[in-house]
Amino acid sequence: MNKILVGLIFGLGLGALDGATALFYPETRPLIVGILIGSSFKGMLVGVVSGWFARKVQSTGWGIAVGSVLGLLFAFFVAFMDAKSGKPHYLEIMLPGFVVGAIVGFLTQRMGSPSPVNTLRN
Amino acid sequence: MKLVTGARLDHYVHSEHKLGERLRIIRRVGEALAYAHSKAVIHRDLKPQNVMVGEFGEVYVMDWGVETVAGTPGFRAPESTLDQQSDIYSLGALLQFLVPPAMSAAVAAIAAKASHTDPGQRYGSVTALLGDIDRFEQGLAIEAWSEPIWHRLQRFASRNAVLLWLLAAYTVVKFFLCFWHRF
Repeated sequence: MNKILVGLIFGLGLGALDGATALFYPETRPLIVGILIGSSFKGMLVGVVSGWFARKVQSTGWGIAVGSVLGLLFAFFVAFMDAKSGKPHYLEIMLPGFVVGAIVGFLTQRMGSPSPVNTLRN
Repeated sequence: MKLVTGARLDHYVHSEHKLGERLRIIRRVGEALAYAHSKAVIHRDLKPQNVMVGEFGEVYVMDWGVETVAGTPGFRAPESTLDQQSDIYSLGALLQFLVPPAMSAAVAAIAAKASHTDPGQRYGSVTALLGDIDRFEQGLAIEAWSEPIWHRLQRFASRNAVLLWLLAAYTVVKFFLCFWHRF
């Protein structure tokens, strides 16, 4: 399984899990379907890009850094769009997004097969 | 005959050497033994006095297949005929000599399996023994030891420390946000 696919699967799964935690807040429960879809899609994007990065650069530290930056960035976009519709939730969306991005970045470094070119080079 | 400079293993062991270095020496001896076995050659008298560590860390295994020698007490297998299994016994005894049980319970288990009195209970080949040493160094479960649950958890935590810290960070963030939201 290549790293992009690993990133896609873990990003999607962890994004969905992160979105599901919105069930703990009464005001977000009615919006749970949209939150789940958005969070899963956000996680999937982070995972795909992290996976692509992991194919080029094999470094756990850099993988975590890139994943967390991507997670923060995409979470900011989601929080920004959410802020337009009412009360902003920048901290509640960006902080977990940052950590989930770091986890996905780490997993794409550790799992999946690297790029064939990198394997030959090594 | 080649002149070898260095320290005999029975002298070398008295210096401070980490577990990794000791296992590296055993691996070098094991690789030489595995190659010899593949050519149907057995050592017959593997012991610390027949292993030397050169000045650059290279390992020499000496006194191969001397017909008149029937092994050395403490390193000779109990069976009457010497074969590849008796060499594996000697390698296990060498491992026990080089890595005392206090250093690592897992390595002690590998040594004990290799130097089992019943040849049928030992590793089937030197390669299998070296494979267990490799798995130990990678933090994986080894064939020789059915480890207790706490040790298995410790090994899992050690191999996955970064992931566990990240998951802990996520949990802390979620709890913090939950309480911050309520108050």
